[in-house]
Amino acid sequence: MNLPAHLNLRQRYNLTVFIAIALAYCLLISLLYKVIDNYAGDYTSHYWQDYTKTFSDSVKYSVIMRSTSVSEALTHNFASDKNVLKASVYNSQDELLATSGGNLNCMATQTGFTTSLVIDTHDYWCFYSPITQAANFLGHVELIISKADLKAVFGQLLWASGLIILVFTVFIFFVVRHFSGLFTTTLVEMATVLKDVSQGKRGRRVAFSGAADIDMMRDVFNDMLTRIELNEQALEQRVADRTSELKIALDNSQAGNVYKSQIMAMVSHEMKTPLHAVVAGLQLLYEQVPQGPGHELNREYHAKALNRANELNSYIDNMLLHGKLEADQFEVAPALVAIKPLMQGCADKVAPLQDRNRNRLTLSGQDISVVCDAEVLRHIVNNLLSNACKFTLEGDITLSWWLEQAALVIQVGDTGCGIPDEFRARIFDAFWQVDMSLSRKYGGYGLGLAIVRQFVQQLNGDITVGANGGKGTLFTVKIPNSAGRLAHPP
Amino acid sequence: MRKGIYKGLLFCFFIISSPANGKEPRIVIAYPASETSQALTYTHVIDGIEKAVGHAERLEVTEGADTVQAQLDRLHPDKVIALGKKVAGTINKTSYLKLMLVGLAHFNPAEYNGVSLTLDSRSLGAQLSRFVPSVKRVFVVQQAGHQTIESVPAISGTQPTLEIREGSDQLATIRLLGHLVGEEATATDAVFIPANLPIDILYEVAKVAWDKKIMLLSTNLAQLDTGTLMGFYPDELALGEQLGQLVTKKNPGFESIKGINSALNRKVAQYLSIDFDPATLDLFTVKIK
Repeated sequence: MNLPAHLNLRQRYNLTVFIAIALAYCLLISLLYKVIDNYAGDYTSHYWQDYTKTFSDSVKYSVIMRSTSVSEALTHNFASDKNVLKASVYNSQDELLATSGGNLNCMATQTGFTTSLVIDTHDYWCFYSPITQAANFLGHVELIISKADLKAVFGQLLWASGLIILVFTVFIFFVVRHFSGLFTTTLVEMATVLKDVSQGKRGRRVAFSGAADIDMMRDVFNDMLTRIELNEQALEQRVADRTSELKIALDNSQAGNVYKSQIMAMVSHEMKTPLHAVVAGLQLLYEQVPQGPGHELNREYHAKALNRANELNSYIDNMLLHGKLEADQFEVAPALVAIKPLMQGCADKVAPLQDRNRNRLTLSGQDISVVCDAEVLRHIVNNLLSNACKFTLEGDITLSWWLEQAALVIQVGDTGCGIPDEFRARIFDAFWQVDMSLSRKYGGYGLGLAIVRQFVQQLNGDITVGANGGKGTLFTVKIPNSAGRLAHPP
Repeated sequence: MRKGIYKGLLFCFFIISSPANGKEPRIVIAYPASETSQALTYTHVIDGIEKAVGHAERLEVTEGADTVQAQLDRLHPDKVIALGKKVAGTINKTSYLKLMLVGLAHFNPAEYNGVSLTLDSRSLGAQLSRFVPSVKRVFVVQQAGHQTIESVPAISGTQPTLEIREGSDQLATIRLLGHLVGEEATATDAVFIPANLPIDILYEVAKVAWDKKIMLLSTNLAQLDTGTLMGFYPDELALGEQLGQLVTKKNPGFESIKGINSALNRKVAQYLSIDFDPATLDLFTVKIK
């Protein structure tokens, strides 16, 4: 039951109690009324059944003697009661011997009433009783009895009961209301104070008083509010302190970023500028070394120096790229990209590395186009293929791609040394390699996969690594395929 | 001479030793085993019999027992008096049925020999003429098969005339009685109501009779307090004596009871303005106020 929202706790309580008491009384009186009604109905019915039996016994002699006048006199005598609407006597052939008059008819379907019968209608009863002498059936009597008096009595009883209910309900309501005030006042005050406290008002306390346990509740409640306020103050102080510390840390971080940018600029300018000069010089020197016998060693040294310089340049580029990604300063430039040529280009680029380790590279995929940053995608595929060629010796490398629902899926698999299960979670960390010892077999700074993951994230994609069947590694890259931006091949 | 003396002595010996003159008939009174008040009734009847015949053997018959034949064989009776209809039925199945006389039961001459409980109308008439000499006509209403008064032609002309009317069944008997009391009888008549009249009908009949000041008489004492003036019932001792006298007869037949006791409802008598002198009043064995 939903009580009106504007009522306070005490009013709700009082209203609930009032309704409950009224309902209980109504239920009780209804039950009592029903029981009394049934009992009185049965009692009255039995009384009139006996009356009918007496009537049949009384007219028996006159029926035996076939004395209509005596039967008439007895019938009128029994019909003199104001509740008797009609009294009649019938012989064994159901012929009317005597009647008090009246046109009421109970529509009894039965004839030859050898046993007593009662027909109960809304307004009256019809009682039938046989007239017998020993085993001889002589006829029957009929009495129609009005229920008006009984109904009138019960009507008065109902009115009186209703009045009593009303008086008692009001009385008990006021008694309950008086006693409910003793504790609902307390609850209402506590609710008010709690509401103020929840709105940030400090220093509010309850002031109710009463019995010892009520006073104890007041003190405990006020103590609890005091402790809450103290805790809040301590918490606010801690928040202020932490905020101050964070501000200092933020300032330091911002200063660090400035330093980092300066370092990156310095690396870019101060390291790459001379390195470009070194590469250019080495390139010129390499070109100036004459062809022919006696110069092979010279050309070999120049070529190695040039390769190392290029590798160093590449490492520095990777470091700069990583720094840029970390600083979230890299922006992708989406455009329609034909995937198959891109993949073929990547395969061509790693061909020297592939040949060096005598690997076999297989490409498979549809001729599709997607909207993507081609340079970023190329970097991802190049890096994964380079790693596959690097860590696979005389094995098979596969590069495959396809469209799956709303994503471009690229898989690079190899049959190389593989990655142990316990290291798979860390291989995308920057500057981390499975073998980080100085005597490790494979070189590098451990930035390649970290940059790949950052690039995939820039494209809102996902990269996972697992075992490639029984041997090697399988990288799977999923890049979201926006329906409006992906074009299917004709 | 000697031969003549011898013949004379021999004749005397036969005369003396003859059973007809030297031995009393052996009489057995068979009565039902009873521990109720009926036992007293049987005692009274047996006392009456013994008063008439002297000593008699008593045989208590237990209901359902099949030893009656053997018991009777052992007693070897010349006559058997059976008290009650059940005992009569039991003995009727033995070889002594022809020696049996029945008492203390309603029966007709075709059934048994003995003294029936139906009242002898002559004795009844004699008592009525003594108690209420003003009554000239007595109606006896009874149901066929439930007769309580046996009509015997009156000897004395001073007795009231007795008219017996029988109904074929209870309803017919009630209608007969109702018609008689309501239409035919007058205040100088007396009406014997059926002994088996239902009490509620008796109330109705008594009401009519009360209004017409008709004397109601009954052979059922239970009806005495319901508007009946006098009740008549068997005198048990006299019944025993009558049985004792009958059993000594050479060819006993059927008799109705002659010894009759009478009872009086004094309130009804007062209402009917019938006065009794003390001597007459003493003749009533039962008087209710």
